[in-house]
Amino acid sequence: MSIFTRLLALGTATLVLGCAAAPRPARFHDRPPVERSDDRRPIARPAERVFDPLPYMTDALVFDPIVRAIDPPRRRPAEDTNALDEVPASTWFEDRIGARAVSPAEAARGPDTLGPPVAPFTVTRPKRGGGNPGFIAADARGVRYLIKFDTAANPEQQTGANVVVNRVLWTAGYHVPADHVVTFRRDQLRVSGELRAAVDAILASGAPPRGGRYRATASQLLGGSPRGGWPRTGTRVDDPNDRVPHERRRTLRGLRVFAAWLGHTDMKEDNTLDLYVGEPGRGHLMHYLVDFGEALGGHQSEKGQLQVGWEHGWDWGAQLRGAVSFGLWKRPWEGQRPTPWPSIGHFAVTHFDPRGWRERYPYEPFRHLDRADAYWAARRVMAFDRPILEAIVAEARFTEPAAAAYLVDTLLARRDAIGAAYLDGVTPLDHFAVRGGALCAIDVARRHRVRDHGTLLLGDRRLAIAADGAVCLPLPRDHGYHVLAPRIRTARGTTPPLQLHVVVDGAGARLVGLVR
Amino acid sequence: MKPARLLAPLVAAAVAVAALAADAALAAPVTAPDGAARGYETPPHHPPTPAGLVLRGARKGAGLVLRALVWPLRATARVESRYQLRRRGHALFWNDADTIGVFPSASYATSGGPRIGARAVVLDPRGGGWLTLAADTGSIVKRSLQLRAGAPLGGIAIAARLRYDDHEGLMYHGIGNDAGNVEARFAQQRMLGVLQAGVERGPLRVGLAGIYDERTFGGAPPRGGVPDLTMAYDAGAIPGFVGGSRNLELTAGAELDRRDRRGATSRGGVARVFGGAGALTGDPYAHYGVELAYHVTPFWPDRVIGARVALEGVEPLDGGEVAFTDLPRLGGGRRLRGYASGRFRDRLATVGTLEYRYPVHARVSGELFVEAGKVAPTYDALAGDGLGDHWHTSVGGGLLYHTPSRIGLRLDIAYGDGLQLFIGTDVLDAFRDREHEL
Repeated sequence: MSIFTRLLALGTATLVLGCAAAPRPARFHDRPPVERSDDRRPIARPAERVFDPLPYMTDALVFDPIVRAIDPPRRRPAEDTNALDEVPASTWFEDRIGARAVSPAEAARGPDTLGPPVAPFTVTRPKRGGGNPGFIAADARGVRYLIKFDTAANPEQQTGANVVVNRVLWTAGYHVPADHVVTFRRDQLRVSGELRAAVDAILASGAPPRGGRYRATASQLLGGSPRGGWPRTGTRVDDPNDRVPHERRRTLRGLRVFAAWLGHTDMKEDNTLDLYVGEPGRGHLMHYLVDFGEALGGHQSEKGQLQVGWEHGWDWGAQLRGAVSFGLWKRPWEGQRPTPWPSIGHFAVTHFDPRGWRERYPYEPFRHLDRADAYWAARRVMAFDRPILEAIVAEARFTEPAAAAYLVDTLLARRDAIGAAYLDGVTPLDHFAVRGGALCAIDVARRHRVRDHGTLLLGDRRLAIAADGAVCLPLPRDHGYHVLAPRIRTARGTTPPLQLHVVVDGAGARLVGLVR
Repeated sequence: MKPARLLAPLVAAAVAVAALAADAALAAPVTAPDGAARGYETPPHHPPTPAGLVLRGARKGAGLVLRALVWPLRATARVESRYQLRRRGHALFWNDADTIGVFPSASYATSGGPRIGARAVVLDPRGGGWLTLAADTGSIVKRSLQLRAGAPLGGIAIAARLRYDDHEGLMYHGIGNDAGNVEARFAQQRMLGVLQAGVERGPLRVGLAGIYDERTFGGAPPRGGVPDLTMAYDAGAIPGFVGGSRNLELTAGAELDRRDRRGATSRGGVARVFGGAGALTGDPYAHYGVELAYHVTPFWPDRVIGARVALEGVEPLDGGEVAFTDLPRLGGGRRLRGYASGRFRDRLATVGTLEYRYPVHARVSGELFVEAGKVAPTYDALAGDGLGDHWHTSVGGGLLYHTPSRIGLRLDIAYGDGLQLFIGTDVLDAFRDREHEL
């Protein structure tokens, strides 16, 4: 038998065997869902990862999209979820809004445990890296902060956007540093002789003082040893606790929905931070999102590039479409108008398309967002109500109340657009509880008034959904393992079936697993 | 005391401790290692279809090939980032203050082969002065040496250039519009001296230039099927070819620039005019030119229509001859794309351009254009009885890389008497470097 014939036979056998197996549904263990990921085991302190902009940008913007167009990565469901398709608490995420009640005061406080910084500040060194000038300083209590300023052209914009997005992402469940908006007089800065010229240059390059006071972001330096940002794909090889490739983490895939909501276009490795917490050899990594100053339309305003949020920095698809349309394609972002306030960037609900939104530099986990990830994130976005957003925006300390009111209204309107785009991408049932022989749940889309109708389909049954979204599914009486597959019929069609895995025995019925 | 009485409290205590431990275990959150929280007894399995497997295999194969193709580019980015080659190169060739640099240069032309050289630059950041020295050899250039210097002097910008070239393969297509003219090669030795002075006040720039231009000509070895000029033409009938030319030309020029931006222009126009006279050993002549360009944005932002007309002429002042190299020419990246550089030459040359630019990226525009031009010996032939004759047209398109303030690079493909590819910067600037090009 020739080599060619052998290879042909081997290929055929592989094909036949690979396709011979029958589809097999999931089956869950009958046990409580995992609530916490065990990812704080002691590890050796990893080396610090250095962000290399050139390879990162060329890969993300130019080469990866070309390769992906020919050889797209396999779509896989998120792997950091539990049996109920939720994300357990971990070094990446701590479920807050949507999982429990969060008060406006708690959302406004965010990760802060020490209260706002206290002047005077003692400058220790200029800031390294990043595009905006700043310095490291200790406040009157000795707490160290990274102090950053607004650009001269857009006073209050970066500082305001940073603290708003910081609080929103913390409330959503992400780990972020404690950021504050601070104001201080020049004489409240203690600067040693050799730093004086550098600090004066930094102050002169930013927005001018108002009433003699400079306005800045004070980002509390996190306790621990910075180990650089995490890789956008794969795992961190020097962190044994990091076992889920990052493009398969729901927390990072779902972040796309939050990023679209908030216009957080500057999502890249450079704006993530791994922090080694604990004694060397006995600590573990915590994973933080940092630096949101370009969000809420800041990227567009600062760079004068209105396409940010609609196109990647280099966007093969958009560029090709632009080239062959000879200018006759009016791109959706071309109708944008600036707001009346310099403190607010190009941030609006007009033209906002959650699905079409693009970050500036393609972030690989965002490319893997699936319907379940989007639903998971959208449910949390929808949990932000007006009082919470008003409390968060108040932290930005905008001088003009109208600007703050506009921002709250716009966030609410974009929130609703997120809900409309993603909630009905799956069968949006949640908050399950067994009551009186039925499995009761909430239709999240109905509850948040994303739609005002809907009928639950379960086999040949049609079940009414209450105005508050409540609906109860009858449970089988037979002992054993059952899979229910409810769907919801809406005016726009029928949602994909939701798999509810239920065990019924002498102790009653239990929901042991869920597949969206 | 009976043993049973003694044991009873111990048993009770043990039971209590066990109950407390069980409670604590129940209250503790359920944990699992990272990525193992899903709780599958058996995970779902969706076997692929044969067609799916084949498709996946084909994509993987194509992906591997593509990855191999882009690997050198990726590697270059990594090497550059890791070893900072540009920075190191800059540090190697420039002094610490970035005021003096000496570095090699290299280029390659498909028509002539490689060209190598060296550059020296001296900058005076405080006074605004600069000086460059360049030397090249290779391709059709036997040797080239150029010294340029400039400095502001009391609000007047002064610039000087001294250049020596020894070319062995310049192209000649005859004089006039005759499409049947033969393409031929000739050699040229040239000494060029330019002294310019100019002032800029808002949108207006005015200046004076003195140009000393000395050339001698000869035959060039045939290459690529293009014959030697002396074999293809009667060299004695070409004005200036046999004895060479030596001119001193004095001209005055002005430019009024009302464009909103010089790179990504969206509206406004620019007008340029120059005029002067030249003579030394040859017959005296007048030399003049005018160019008008205007841009409008007729419908959506960044969709710009630009129109340009340019006219250049030389006129013997006593009815004599003007050397063939001093005649205005058409063809090339700035004057009638779609035709080779210097394709047409005569005493008068005019070109008109209609160009449409549209956005592709924030810094890249697409463009479509149509151009028409002709050369003529007299105004009557140009715009009188011969108005409708001998027009040469070209159409094309391209891409334009720009910042708001300048055009960085443009890549044009144009069709005239053949398909031509041009790489350049500003198109609507017919007289840029005219003293060098002519």
